[in-house]
Amino acid sequence: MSSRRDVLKNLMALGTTAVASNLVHAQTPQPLPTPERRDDPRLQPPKKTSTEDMYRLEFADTLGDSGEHGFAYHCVNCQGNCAWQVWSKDGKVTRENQSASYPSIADDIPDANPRGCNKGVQHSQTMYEPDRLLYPMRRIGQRGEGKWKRISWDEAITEVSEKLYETMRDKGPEGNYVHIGAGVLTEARAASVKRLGALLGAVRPYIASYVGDMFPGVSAVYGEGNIGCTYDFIYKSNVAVFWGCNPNTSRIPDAHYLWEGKYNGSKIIVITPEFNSTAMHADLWVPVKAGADGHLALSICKRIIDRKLYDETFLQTHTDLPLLVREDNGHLLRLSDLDLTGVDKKLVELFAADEEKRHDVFVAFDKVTRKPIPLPGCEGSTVETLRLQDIDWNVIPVLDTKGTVKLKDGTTIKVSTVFARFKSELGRFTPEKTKNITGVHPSIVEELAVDVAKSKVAVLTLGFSVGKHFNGMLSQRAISALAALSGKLGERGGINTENEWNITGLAGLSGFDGKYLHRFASGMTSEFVLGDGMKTYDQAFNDDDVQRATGMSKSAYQERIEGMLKEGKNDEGYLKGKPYWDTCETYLLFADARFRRNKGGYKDAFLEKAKFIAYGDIRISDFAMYADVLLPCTSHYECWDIRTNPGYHRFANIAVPPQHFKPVGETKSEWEISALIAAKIEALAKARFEKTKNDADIKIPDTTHTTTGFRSLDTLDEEFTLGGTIKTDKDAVEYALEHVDQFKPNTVKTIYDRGGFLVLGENAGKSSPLYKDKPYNTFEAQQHLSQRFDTLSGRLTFYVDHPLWIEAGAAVPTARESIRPKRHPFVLMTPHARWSIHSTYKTSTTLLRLQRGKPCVMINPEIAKGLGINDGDDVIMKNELGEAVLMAKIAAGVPKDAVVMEHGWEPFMYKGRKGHNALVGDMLNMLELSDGWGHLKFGTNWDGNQHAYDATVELVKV
Amino acid sequence: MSKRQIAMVMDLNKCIGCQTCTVSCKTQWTNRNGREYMYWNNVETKPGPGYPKQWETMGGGFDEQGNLREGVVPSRTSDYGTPWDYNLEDIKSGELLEAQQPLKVGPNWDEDQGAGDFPNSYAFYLPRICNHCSSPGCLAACPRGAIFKRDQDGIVLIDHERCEGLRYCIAGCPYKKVYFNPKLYKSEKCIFCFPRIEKGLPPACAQQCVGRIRFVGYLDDVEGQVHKLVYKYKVALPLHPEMGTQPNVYYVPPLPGPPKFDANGKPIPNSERIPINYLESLFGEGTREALKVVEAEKEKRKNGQPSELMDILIAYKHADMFRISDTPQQLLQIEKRPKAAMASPAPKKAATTTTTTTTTTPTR
Amino acid sequence: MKMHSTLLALAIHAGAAASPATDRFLAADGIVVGSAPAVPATVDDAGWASAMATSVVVAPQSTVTLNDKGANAFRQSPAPGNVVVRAIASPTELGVLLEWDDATENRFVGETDSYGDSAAIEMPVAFGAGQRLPYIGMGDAGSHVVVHMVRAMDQGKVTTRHAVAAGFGSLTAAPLGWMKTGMAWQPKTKRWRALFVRPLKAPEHSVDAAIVPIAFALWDGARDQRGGNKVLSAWHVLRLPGRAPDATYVAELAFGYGDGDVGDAARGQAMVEAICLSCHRIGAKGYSPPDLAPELTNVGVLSSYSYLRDSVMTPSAALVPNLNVNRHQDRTKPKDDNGAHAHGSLGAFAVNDGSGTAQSVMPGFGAMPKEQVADIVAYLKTLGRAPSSPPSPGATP
Repeated sequence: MSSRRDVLKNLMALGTTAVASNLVHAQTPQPLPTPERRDDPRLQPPKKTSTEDMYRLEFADTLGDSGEHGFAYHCVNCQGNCAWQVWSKDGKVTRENQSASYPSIADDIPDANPRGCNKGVQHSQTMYEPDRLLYPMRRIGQRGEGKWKRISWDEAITEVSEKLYETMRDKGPEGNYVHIGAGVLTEARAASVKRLGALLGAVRPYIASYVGDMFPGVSAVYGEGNIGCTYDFIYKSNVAVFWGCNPNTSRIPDAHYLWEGKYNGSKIIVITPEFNSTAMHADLWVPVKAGADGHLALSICKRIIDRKLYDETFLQTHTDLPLLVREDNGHLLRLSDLDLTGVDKKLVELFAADEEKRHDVFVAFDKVTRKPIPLPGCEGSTVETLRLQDIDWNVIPVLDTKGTVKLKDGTTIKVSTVFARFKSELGRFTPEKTKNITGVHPSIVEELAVDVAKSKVAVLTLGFSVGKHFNGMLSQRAISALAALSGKLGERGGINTENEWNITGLAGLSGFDGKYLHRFASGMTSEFVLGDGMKTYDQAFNDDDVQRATGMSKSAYQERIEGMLKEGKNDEGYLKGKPYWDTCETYLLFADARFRRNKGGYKDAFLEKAKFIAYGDIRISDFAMYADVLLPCTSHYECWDIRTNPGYHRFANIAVPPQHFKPVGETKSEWEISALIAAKIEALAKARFEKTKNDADIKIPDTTHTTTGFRSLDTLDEEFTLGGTIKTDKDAVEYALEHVDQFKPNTVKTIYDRGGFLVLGENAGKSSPLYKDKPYNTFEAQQHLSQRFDTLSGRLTFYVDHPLWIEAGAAVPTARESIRPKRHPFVLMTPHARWSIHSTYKTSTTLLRLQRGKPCVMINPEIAKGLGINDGDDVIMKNELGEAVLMAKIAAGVPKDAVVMEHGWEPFMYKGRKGHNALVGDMLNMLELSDGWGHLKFGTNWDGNQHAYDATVELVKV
Repeated sequence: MSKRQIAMVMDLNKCIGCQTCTVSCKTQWTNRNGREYMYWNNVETKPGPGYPKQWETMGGGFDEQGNLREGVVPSRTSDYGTPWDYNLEDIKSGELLEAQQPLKVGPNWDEDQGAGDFPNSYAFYLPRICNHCSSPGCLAACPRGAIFKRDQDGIVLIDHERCEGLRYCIAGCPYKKVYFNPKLYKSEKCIFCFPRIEKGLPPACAQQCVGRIRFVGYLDDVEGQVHKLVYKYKVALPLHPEMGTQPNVYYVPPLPGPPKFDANGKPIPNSERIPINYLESLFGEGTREALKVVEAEKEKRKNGQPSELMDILIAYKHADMFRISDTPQQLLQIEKRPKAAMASPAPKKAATTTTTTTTTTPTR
Repeated sequence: MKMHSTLLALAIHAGAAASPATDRFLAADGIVVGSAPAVPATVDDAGWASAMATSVVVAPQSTVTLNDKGANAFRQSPAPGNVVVRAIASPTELGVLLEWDDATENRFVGETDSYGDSAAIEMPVAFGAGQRLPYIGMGDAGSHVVVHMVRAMDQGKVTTRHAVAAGFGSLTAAPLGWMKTGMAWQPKTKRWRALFVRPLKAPEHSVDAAIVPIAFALWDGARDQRGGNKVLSAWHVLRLPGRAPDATYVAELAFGYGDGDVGDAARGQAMVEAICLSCHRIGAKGYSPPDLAPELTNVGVLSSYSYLRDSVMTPSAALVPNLNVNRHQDRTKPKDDNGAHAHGSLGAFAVNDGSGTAQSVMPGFGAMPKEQVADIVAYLKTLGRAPSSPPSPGATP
């Protein structure tokens, strides 16, 4: 090859015109690359490739910047409560990863790592999605039209504060409704809105009740609804029943304990109408018909009693089954009823010294003397223990008997024990009889009776769906009765709903030590009235339906409910019945996408009543669309917070944003917003008072919900911020760490260094110690120390002699058929979702791509074939209340008389903005509405549910 | 033929189908750069067509004589599913939420559909990643020799300097776990999170698996759970061994599930709700024996006797499920101390020789 | 490498003598390169009308079978039979325009199963007297090629690839940015045009010679063609203007066109069927498992006479490179510690003899009488699909 110099020389000699263009190429000749060939790539892996470097760099990128890791618990709208690491780069969150550093409590118990789920693992994606609310906005078009004007925070706070203040002046505090919904279920952040509401005396409904996630039937038996165990306890059980729930789908972070428990020898039993993701791997699946849970539970009770599988001593000691019931009026025999001449005086002195309280002391027959005796441990008893033997006494109440007693007025009446009554009631529930209703073969009832009663440790985990039927409270109660009858308590298991920790010292964050109260309303009642539920009831059900479910005519039942509703209405009624206020016109709501529930005509009725709606959330929702002012909030990666309950595990998780986090838009935390509103109302009030000098402008009268008789608006800022100490979400977390015993000894730093969580102290257990090295279950104090339950009789309660319950034939645990119309072939079942937490994350593109991408309904293959419906077709689901269009998904696990769909879809995901819940009608249950008996007094333990499973539908191919 | 082989065991009795693995992988690797449609990790409901749709019928792997079989390259539109987008920005303006592409097929389309006549329905979840086979079909199919197994761990990688985007690897993989990246015009696949492995961290799908179903370790680590499950107890079996690629992801097959019911609704003892023949069609001849061993050891445990197998499958400590270095516990701490993690030099810049631009910054 | 390195030298050697064999060879495999002051810069340039159109037969690559079921199914049906080649040289540049029929315009549209129509030219890195031509399938270890490829992409875009290669699987990107390319669809005629323009001399590679070997390949996206699933031509030669061919080189290339170079195809067929088909296959004919040896269906269209002769007599000197030896497992051997099957000899056309030199697994027939070799070559040269229609000169640009 010639050299460059030669070429140049020759070209110059020729003097061609091509010199210039040739010069371009006339460079030093270069060798071509040597072709690379891998004869056998399996034998000759390259030493190093740029591809490997590319992936290494990508990993480094997602891992984010050094020192920029924050922590967040997940998720605000979920009960999971998991510690996460949050990675960020240049102030932007790149990815999250479970903290996975929870300590192991014992070598033979699986640890809780790496708690988390499919939804939590992608929050970093959704927090930057375009449905995020970024700036305060004011509505400028019609409600729901979607016309907004961006405004400043000052404008937004001023407008909201003016409305709240104006309403307080014109309507009183009960004109305001201030509430933070299920979107933020935390200790610190949620407290801010509760704090504001309490300070203003606004109405706040009970969430668990209005979303239908209460366990009133459990409260009836145990005195409280939120009881049970940490999930590692399930690992140690011998029998674990999951009744009306699907932990593999909706209890994702804890579900591993089931399957590890199965390997450890536990029998996993699932009782659900549909063959779900938990049933797949169960040892026994019981395909109970929708809503027939109570019938099934009572059949099992029947078998247990028939086969004497119960522990008599346990029932004598821990249950009200030996108590005597008057045959003449069905009431419990009270010591105050009796002619005491025939009663052991020593025992009366011992157990019922206080004559005033003898109405609440209950009576049994003594096994030895065959005479009526008062029992210790009742609400009116002077001795609080349930112990039947002690140095001063030895009583053995007879369980199953009838007899006569002499009353004060000299009459002799017949009495029988609760046990005898219950046994008699169970005659209606033989497995052979209930099979028609439950669809469950008697041999399964038999198996369940033995499994639950004879196993050493049996846990009956109760899902929310049992209570979502009209008569679901009775079902919950029947299942609780089954657990009680089988003597499962404390170490031996029992009912597991949602354990709640005893967290003391947080009251100061959300409240004012009784000085100011918010107007706490019954959730189901408040929402039923707000949404004009009676109108929907009228459309949804006919006389047959109501007769079947209540034994009353449709109109009679309606009148009855209307009468009861009058009781608890407004300030006048709030101490009488289930309280609610129909006085609200100004609404300040946070994290409550309530129109996704939107039963029947709820939305229209609500919007008619709400004169002003301010709404704070992280994203647009169907509800947010109808707000008048939108307040953009920080999500849990962007703020400080701490979360403990519910007690599925023993950890409190903390949220700390990454150090150099760049805010998303102009979002603010609920603390900041609430503090700003408090300060602004104070400023507005002071300014007005300056002009009017009218006391009523600065001291709003409130005789029912303050200790002072009025609400001082000139100290709002001072009181809200505790003298300037709690202004932000971070302050609130620090306050919690300082004031909560169960959190000690911890600081933000110790928590951060550990991995974003703290381990609750031993005193976090309510009725059992939270042992450092043992799983937790409630009621060890009752089991081992014979402490009384928080019930009227101090015992597990089978008998409720509330007049209404007697009238309804429900004094002993019983079951009723469903109210759902039989006109349509399919029960609409909408269990908790795998892919969203209610409506939270329902719009996540990442998650929607892992589903069908729009609302879909699962249909049994044979049914679909009969209707000519193919997988992927659009179908119309309809009934009297309306129709919704969904994609059909053919699934083998769906019963032939039901359709199943994940809940939480927002109306804006449906054609015509009409969601599936619009097809659901409901009616308040008279028994859930009843109040004022023993431990059944309105509060977080005794309210009722809105029911979501009372609809039946038809399907038509589009 | 790598010196060592890293492997994963997935216990299908513990898989709850939550797809935390899928999403972990997505945010770690595939939510950007042309990978949006890919699910290096997916979970499918069996029986069902899976992802990509009907992958089991798409050929690839080796025939009985050991010759590479023909296979097909799946279509994004009709087999994988085009990742649809939404008009999320329009909801505020009063629009209904609508997918912007047709909803016809997706990566989890057959979720929970299962088989069987109610109430004798059955289903289970099957999570899948690249099997990092010992005789990879993709590697054999690549006419470019672009696919290789790393010496130190047997992880199968595609060398993008060699890859020409020809896609014969996709046809050659019987598991359809190689994907074509249309943006890079290269094939890509699960890389067993080797950059994490190199830092002592398990793959994202495994570390983040909340069902705690995934064990990671080297096959030759005789003290490791992977070795014991695969070789000692033989309860972990490769998926479709007949494909001839010797996968290095192993599955503990699901126990047959709750009893079926007769016409009267009475449970039938020892009925195979999940037909054993079906399981054998997935996990091969060893299935029956594997299930027997699991049942027997479970029974031992129930009767209070010790069982190493149950101890392993229960997995008392999450961190112990991963044996990827001599001191996994210690290395796991790296992630908790971010400064330490970043102390080792990361490459400054990805070197690529592709004709299209590669960006490595997440785009979402 | 033999180079006609200066313009001066070109002038001196002009007008060398020709023989009947070389005439026949040049008529059959030569492509006359037109002369112009500048090479037309685009595919649509009217200047291409001045170049002579040569129709070159192309046939599917069938030596080895790739594993795409879809693409293989398409291989069963007829493929494009020719490509029309025009070439023009300026004093500094060489331009080659390809034009071919294609029923559909297939662009790569970002789908997993989308393939863009493509075209490529290949040229030996080294050529000239004494230098045998590389193996037609992207060269071989002893004779490298440069390859330039254009692919139709979405939205009218075209991707260009430049590479060197030494056989299957060896394509290695080379930064040969001096090659200018173009590719355009002609909707009216349903034809593609692809253009390759390069300097006659480039620092790495020069084609400033009277005789420049070149081969062509086309890929039809509608038939899922990419990589080895393609149609290609045999080696042809560009005859650059104003330069005298090296007679020795031309004579070497012209083997097969001379009287007596080849024998009787019928006799050859009998021998091929008796001997060769124990390892090779010709479509359905043959007794061996596929892939044991190169498939011969199109061997006549794709190979020169001399290559065929060498393949028979000294196969190790005319190696067909291995595809991917892992395509066949040897199940008779034990698996390794990780359960991997050893790869089998099936599919290895060449093995390393231990000295680092690849040896063909085919026994050489160097001792076979020359006449018999000539018969075999004669027969082999007939193998391949004849063009389905007479060569079409194509529309004049």
